[in-house]
Amino acid sequence: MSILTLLVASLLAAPILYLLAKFNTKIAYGAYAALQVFSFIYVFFTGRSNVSYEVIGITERLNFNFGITPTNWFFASIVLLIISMSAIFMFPLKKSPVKIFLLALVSAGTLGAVFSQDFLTLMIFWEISTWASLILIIQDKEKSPREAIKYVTIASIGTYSMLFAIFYMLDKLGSIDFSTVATRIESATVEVQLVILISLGVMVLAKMGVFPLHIWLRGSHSSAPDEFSPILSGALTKIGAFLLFTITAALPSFRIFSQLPVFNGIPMVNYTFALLGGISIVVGTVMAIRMEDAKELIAFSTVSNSGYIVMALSIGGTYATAGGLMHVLNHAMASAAMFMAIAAVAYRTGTTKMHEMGGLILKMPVTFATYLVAIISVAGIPPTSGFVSKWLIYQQLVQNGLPFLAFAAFFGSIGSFMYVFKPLAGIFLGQLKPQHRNLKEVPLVMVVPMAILTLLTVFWGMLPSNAIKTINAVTASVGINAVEVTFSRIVALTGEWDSILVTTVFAIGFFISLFIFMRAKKARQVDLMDNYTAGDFLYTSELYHFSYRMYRPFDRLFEKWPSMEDWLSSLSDKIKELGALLKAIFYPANPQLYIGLAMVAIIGTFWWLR
Amino acid sequence: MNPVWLIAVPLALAFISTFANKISNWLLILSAIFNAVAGIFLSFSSGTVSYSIGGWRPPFGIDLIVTDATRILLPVANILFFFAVIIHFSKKRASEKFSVVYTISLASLNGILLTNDLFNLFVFLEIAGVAAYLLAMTGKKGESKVAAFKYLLLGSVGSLLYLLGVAVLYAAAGTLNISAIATKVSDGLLNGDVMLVSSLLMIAGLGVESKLVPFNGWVPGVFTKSSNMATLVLASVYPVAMISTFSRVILAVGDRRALDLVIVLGVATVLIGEVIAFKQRNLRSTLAYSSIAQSGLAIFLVGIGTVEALTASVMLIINNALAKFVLFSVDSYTTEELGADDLESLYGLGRMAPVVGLIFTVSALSISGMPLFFGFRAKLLAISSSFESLLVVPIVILLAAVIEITYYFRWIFALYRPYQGEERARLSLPLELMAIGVVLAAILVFLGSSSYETLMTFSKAGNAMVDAIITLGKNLIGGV
Repeated sequence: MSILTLLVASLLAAPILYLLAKFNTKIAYGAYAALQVFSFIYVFFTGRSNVSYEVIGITERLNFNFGITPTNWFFASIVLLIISMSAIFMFPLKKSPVKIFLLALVSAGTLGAVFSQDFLTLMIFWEISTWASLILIIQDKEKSPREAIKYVTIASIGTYSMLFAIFYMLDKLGSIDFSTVATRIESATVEVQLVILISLGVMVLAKMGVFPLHIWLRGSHSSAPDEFSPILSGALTKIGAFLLFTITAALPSFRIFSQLPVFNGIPMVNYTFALLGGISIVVGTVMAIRMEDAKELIAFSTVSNSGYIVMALSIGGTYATAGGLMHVLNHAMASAAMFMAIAAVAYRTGTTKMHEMGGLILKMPVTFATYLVAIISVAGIPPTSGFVSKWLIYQQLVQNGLPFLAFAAFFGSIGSFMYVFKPLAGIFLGQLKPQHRNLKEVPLVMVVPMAILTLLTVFWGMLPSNAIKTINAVTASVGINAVEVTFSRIVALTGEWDSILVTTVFAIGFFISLFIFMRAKKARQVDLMDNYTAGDFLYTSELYHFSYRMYRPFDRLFEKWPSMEDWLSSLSDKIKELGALLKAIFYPANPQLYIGLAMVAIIGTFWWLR
Repeated sequence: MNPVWLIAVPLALAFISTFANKISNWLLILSAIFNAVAGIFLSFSSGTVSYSIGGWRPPFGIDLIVTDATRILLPVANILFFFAVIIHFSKKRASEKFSVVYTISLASLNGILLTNDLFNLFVFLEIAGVAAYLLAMTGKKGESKVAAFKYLLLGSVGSLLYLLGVAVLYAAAGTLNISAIATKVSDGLLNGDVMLVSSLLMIAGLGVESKLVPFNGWVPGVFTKSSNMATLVLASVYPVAMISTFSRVILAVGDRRALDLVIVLGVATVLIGEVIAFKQRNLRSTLAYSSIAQSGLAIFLVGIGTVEALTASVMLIINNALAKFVLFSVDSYTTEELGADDLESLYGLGRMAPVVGLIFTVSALSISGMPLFFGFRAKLLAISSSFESLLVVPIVILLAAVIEITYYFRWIFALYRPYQGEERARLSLPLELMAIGVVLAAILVFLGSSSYETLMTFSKAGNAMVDAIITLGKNLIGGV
C-alpha cells in the first residue's frame, strides 16, 4: 500500500459514500470516519520512515509527483488528525448524502495536497478540496451563499496567482517540483524570483486568510455547517502554511533575496510578508473582540493566528521557523477544538449567539474544558502548547530586533485574552437560561474527539520537547538549525524554558486554589432574572446579558476605523458598472452601430498592422 | 466511407421534406441519426485524408478533408445535434415548421467542418447563416424577430467581408483550395499586404459567427430571445463548426501579422464577455455572455498557434459545447417549469431536483475550469501556452477566469442554498433530458479525471490543426 493507493481510494470513496448515504446515512458517515482515522493512523505511523516518490502524468510535460518528506509528513499528520477527529465528531449532527460526498472530496483533495512534491500537484488537489468545500459551506445556513461567494473570489485570486507562478516557473526555470526549483531559482534573475515568490505568496495570503485577503474568513467560517468549520479552520488553512514553508524555507527565499534591501537581517520581500502577517494579527484581534457571534469570533481569531504563522515563517531563522511550525500544530488543534466546542453547544442549544446562552459549565463540563484549554492555548498561556510556539517566535523577534512586528505579536497575545474570554464568560459562565435547564452533555462520540484534542494540547504543553524534536527533523531537512532541547527544557536566546518545572508549579497552584474553593462557602446560584433591574420588567433580557457588547468601550474605540472588508464588494460593483459600460459600447441596441464598430475595427487594425 | 454523405444525406432529406411536410420531422430525426452514426464511424480511423468531389483532382476541383481534428469535432457536433433533436421531439407539441431548416443547418455545418475550399466554405457559411437567422426568429415573442433581424444584418455583412477576403486571395494565389494556398503562403509566394488585407477581411467575416468582439453584437439578443431548441443548436453545435473553421482558415491562409490581431481580439472577447456576464441576473443571458467569453478563449489560442495552444483550443471548444448543451437545456427546462430563470427563482432547485442540480453543477464547474473536470485540463493547457505570447495575456486571461468562477459559483450556490420560501412541488426531469445530461456530465468527469494518454486524441487534433492542411498541400498537390 502506498500514498497513491490511499489517494485513489479516498477519491473513489466520494461517489461510493454518496450512494451508500442514499440508503443509509449512518453507515456512510461511519465509513467516512473509519477511512479518515485509518488514513491518519497509516500516515502517522508508517510515513515517517520511508521516503517514497510516485509520479503519474497529467499532460505531456507535467506530472503528478507525490512523496513523503519530513515536511509532508508533519503537515499531513496535522491535517489528517484534524479531519479524522472532525469525522468522528460530526456523527450525531445533521447528515445528508451531498455533504458526505463533498466531505470525502475535501479530505481526498487535502490528502493529495499535503503529499505533493511539486506546485501543480499541490494546486490541483488544493483546488479540488476548495471547490468541494465551497459547495459544502452553503449547505446549512441561509446567509451562507452571500458569504461564501467572497471565498470563491478570494480563493480563485489565490489559485490563479499560483497557476500563473507555476507556468511562469515552467517557462523560466523549466521545472515546477520543489527540489529542482529550489536549486534553479538561485541562478535566476531578480525579477523572475520576485514574480514567482510574490505570486505564490498571494496564494498563501488568500488561503490562510491574511490581510488584505482575510475578508472571506468571517463569513465562510461562521456560516459553514458546524461540523465543517473545524476542518475549514483547523485543516484547510494549514495547507497555506505548507506552501509558505515550502517557499520560504525550502526555496531559500533568504538567500535569493539577500541582494535586495535587508531590514535587520530580513530581506525586503520576507519583511513585507511578515508585516502583512503582523497587520492581520492586529486586525484579526481587534475584530474578534468586537464580534457577538462565537463562530465569527473564532473566525477572526483564525485571521490573527494565521498572521502569527505567516510572520514567523517569513522572518525565518532557527526559532521563528520552529515556532511557526509549532504554531501550525497548536492552532490546528486549538481552532478545531474551539469550533467543536461551539458546534457542541449549538447542537444542544441551537444558537451560536453568545448573549443567548450562559451558565452551560454545569450542563456541559467536557465541552467547557475543551473550550477552556483551547483558548488558553490560543492565548499562549502555559502549560498548554500554545505558549511554546509564541515564546519561540518572540525569541526570534527579539534576536532580530523587530519592534513593529514584536508590537503586533504582543498586541495579539494580549488581545486574545480579551476575545477568548468573551465566549467563555458568555456561553459557559454566568447564569443558566431558563430554557437551557434540561440540557445534557453531548453524546460520547462528540466528547471523545474533543477530549483527544484537549489532552494533546496539554501533553505538548507539558512536554514541548517532544514536538520540537519532530520539528527539528523537519527544519533539518531544509537546512535550518535545530532548536536545542532536552527532555524538559528548551534553550533559546534569552533563556530556557523548563516545561516540567512550570507544569509542576501550575499543578501546585491549581491544587491550592481547588483546596480554597472546596473549603470556601458555597456560591449561591442566582436566577438570570434575579439581578439588578430593580423590579423593572425585562422585555429583552439578552440586552442585559453581561456578555452582550462586553467590550463596549473598546468597541467604541475602533468603531470609526475604516473597514477593510468592503473592498471586495465595492470591486464587484465596479466590475458591474464596467460591464454596463462595455455592454453599451459593444452590444448597442442598433445594428448599424455594430457594423460601424466592425468597420472601425478592420480599418484600425489594418493601419496598426500594415 | 466518403464523408460527402454527411452533407449529401441531410441535404437530400431536406429537399424531400420541402415536398412532404408531414414527414419532415421524421426526416430530420433520420438525418440526425445518420450523421451521428456516420460521425462516430469516421472517428475510428486516423490521419489526414482528402476526398475529391466530382472527379476533379484538387486544386482544380473541390475536395473534402478529414484530419485528426475533424475526427473529434465532427462526431461531437453531430451527436450534440442528435441530442438536441431528441430533446426537441420528446415534447408533445413539437412543431414541424422548422424541421427543414434544422436539417439544412445540419448539412451545412458538416460542410463547413469538412470542406477544403474557400468558396465552397462561403457557400456553406451562407446556408448555415440563413438557417441560423431562421432559427433565431423562432422565439415566442416579437423580440426574437428583432434579434434575428440584427443577426441577419451583421451576418450578411460578415459573409460579404469574408467573400471579399476570398476574392482578394483568389486574385493573388489563383486557387481557392485551402491546402494549395497554404503551400504558397508558406513558400512566401504571396505579397504580404495582399495577405494582410485578405486576412483582416476573413477574420472579420468569420468573426461574426465565431463570436469575436466587436463582430458579435448579435449573440446576446439571439441567445436570450430565441426558442429553446434553436438556442441549444446555436449555442452548442454551431460554435464547434464555426470556431474550428475560423482557426483552420486563419492558420492555413492567414498572414502572420494578423495572428497578433487574433490574440488581441480573442483576449478582449474573453474579458468583455466575462465582465458583462458577471453583471447578468438571469441564467440565459449569463450563459450567452459566457459563450462569448469561451469562444474568445478558444480563439486567442489560435493566434498563439503552437500545437499545445491548438490542442487547448480544440479541448475548450468541445468542453464548451458539451457543458453549454447541458446548461442551456437546464435553463430551458427551468424556464418552462418555473416560468423564470433569474437568480431568485432558482433558489433551492438543486435540492428539489437533485439530478438537475448535479448536471448543472458539473457543467458549470467544468466551464469554469475546476480540477476533476474536463475544463480544467483545457484551461491548464491554455494558460500554459499563453506564456508563448506577452506576459500580459495570461494575466488578463486569469483575471477573467476569477470573474467567471465567481459568477458561476453564484449560480451553483443559488441552486444549492437552503430554501425557506413557499413549498414547491418536487420537480422531475424528463427522462431523455436526464439521460443526456448525465451522459454529458459523465463524459466531462471522465475526460477530466483520466490519464493523459486518453487525452492524446486531443493533442493529435491540435497537431492536425497546426500542420495537417499544409502537409496535405505539399504531399497531395505537390505545389501546383
